[in-house]
Amino acid sequence: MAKKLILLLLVPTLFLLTSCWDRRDIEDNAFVLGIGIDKAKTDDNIRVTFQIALPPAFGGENGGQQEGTWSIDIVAKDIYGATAKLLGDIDRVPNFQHLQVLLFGEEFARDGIDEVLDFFFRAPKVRYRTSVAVVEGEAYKALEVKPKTAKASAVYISQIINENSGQSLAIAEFYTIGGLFQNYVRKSPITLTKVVPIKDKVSIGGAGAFKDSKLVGWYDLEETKGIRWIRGDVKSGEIGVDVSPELGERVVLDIFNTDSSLKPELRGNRLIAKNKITVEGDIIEIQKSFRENESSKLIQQWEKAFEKEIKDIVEHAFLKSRDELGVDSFDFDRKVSNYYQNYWDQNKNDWDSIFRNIELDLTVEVKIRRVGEVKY
Amino acid sequence: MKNNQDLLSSIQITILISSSIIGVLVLTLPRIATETVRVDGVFATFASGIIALFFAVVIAILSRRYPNETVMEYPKHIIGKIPAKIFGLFLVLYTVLVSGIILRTFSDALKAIILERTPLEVIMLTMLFTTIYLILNGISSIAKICEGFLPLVVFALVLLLMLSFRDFDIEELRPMFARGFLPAFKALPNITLAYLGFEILYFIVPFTNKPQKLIPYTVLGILIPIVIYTALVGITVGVFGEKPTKMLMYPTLNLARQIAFPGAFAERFDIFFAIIWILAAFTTLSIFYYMASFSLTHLFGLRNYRPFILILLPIIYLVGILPQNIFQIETFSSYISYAGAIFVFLSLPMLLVSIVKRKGGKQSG
Repeated sequence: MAKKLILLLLVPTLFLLTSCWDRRDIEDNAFVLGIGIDKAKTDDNIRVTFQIALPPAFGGENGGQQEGTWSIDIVAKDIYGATAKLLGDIDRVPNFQHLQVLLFGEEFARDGIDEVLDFFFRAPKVRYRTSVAVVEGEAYKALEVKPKTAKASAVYISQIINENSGQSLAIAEFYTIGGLFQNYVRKSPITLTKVVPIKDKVSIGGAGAFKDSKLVGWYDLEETKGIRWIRGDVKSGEIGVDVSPELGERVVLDIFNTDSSLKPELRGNRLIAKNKITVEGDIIEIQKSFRENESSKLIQQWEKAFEKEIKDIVEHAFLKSRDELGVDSFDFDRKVSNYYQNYWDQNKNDWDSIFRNIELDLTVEVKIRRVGEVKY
Repeated sequence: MKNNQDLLSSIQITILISSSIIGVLVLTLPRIATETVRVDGVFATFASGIIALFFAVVIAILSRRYPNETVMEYPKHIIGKIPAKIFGLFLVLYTVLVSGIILRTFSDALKAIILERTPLEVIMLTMLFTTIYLILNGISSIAKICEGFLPLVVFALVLLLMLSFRDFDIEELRPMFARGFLPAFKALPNITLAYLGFEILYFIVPFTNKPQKLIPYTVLGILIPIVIYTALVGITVGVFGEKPTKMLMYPTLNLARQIAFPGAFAERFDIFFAIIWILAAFTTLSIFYYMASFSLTHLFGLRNYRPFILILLPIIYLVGILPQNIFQIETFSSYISYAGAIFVFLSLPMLLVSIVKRKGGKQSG
């Protein structure tokens, strides 16, 4: 009897197990692929561009002809407010679980991006691997681009930032939303990939330097390479160097392995940034090849030339960051706080002036392993 | 009381202990560990584990001396009848409170992560009813469920740690012991709660088939959480850095959120992890609920604990629903962890007194 009673009590719980409250059919979701944030014309407002995926275009053979996305502009005071306003424009519910890219317009970035960042950290539904970039000009223009190789410009941009950054030195994926959070908490400067919209494509390369969450300047392609060397996030890429005609005039190295370590060292009262870069690569292109000399005799000289080239690039980027922008783009403050905690605790408020006085102690070692399929 | 086929095997002891320890707090542990002592939290997690190990062995030795009795009976041989009853009463209170707080922590996190619009009450009740269904069948069923769930939980945690290792940066752990060795121990009271659960040893000795082998399997049961917890705190700090770790509400979940699955075929590892975590929370809650109803039954000198499971249902629910916000839950659970620490610690004097008494020949087991 007691058993039957318990069973009877347990049956109604079945109704609770269906969890209807959070049920939402997949067709009711508006999957937001990209978000662009610009300054609105009226004061104190932001203009948020949501790029929403139209699922039919992404699936099957019939999808080929249809447009892949729908971009909607909203002017609001905050991001969640914009999301709420979006509900009035579209018959679906915005869903950020497949967010590919978050773009900031230049003008907005100059005023500071921290006011909107918090939402992306706090809201539980945002993917932490989302790429973040800053757009030269307006962010919505980058999302308006209609790429020929992808259905959505957001996917196209994030693909370049994500995948191609492993192959090229000038394209950097500096931070995802998750990575940004760490610098946001530490109040450290950030660097974001630069996106330039040109007609029906974008050009990605270079970077924007942020200080106190405000965009203060740009790094060009060469400088971005230098910044990446110091940060140690270079894996592969190419580097070319002009050499004397006997050495082949111009030689290009295909880098397949890099190791870079940045360590602070406190000498007396002076901070030294010790940077050791080791590069392994193959020769991929020689402009004046088929000469008398066998490559084997030239390798050492090439290595020297590459070492000098990398040194120049890195030092130039370092000086730009230290003297011109005054922005610590290498997460150096974080290293100092890890290695010299007491020193950091005492001096963190003067970090700006300390950073302007740090010195770079750079060692570069290049090892050429192979010369491709031609011996001379 | 002894029914041969329902007895727990030695490996089930290990599994029960590990399952009762690894629970809801997996989600918040890296924050709790680093909140007061920065990166020393990694060491503190390990140290708390070793302390837990010591007391687990003490409890095991103590309980083994009375192989036919649980903690609700044998203290009367050691400290006398009335104090033993008081001890039992507090044990009931403690296990009920812990059950309530586990239930609430679990439901709150689940609501924040997955079931945003589902009422909290519904999540809590669903969990409670599922738990009741399990524990009505007794400790051997709980052990069997744990046997099925624990490998999944351990697998998910190990997978999480392995996939996160790509972003691991040893430099983040650098200023370890920057203020010396001792300050690390300040975090111990906070971390203790994460290791509580092995009190189940107080209860299960009469149900084991080989009590003489209790100790090695107990040690193994605690070593599993020690290794996982220490690695979890270490890797989370190594990935995020100490400062961001202590600012995240559920750092372990954030760790899962930032994983890039090789090949990017699964974009959201955190959902998978959250589902496995539900299993961990479920086994922990079941074990504490079982302890609560079992001890309440024996407090009244009764044998059949099944009716008491239903009696406890509204009480545990009320305890769970009481805190008004997430910060009250945290305060509440830190107080309870002190109480738990006291219960665990009391095993040591009890063991000593019990040894002395037996030597005096006043009573025999």
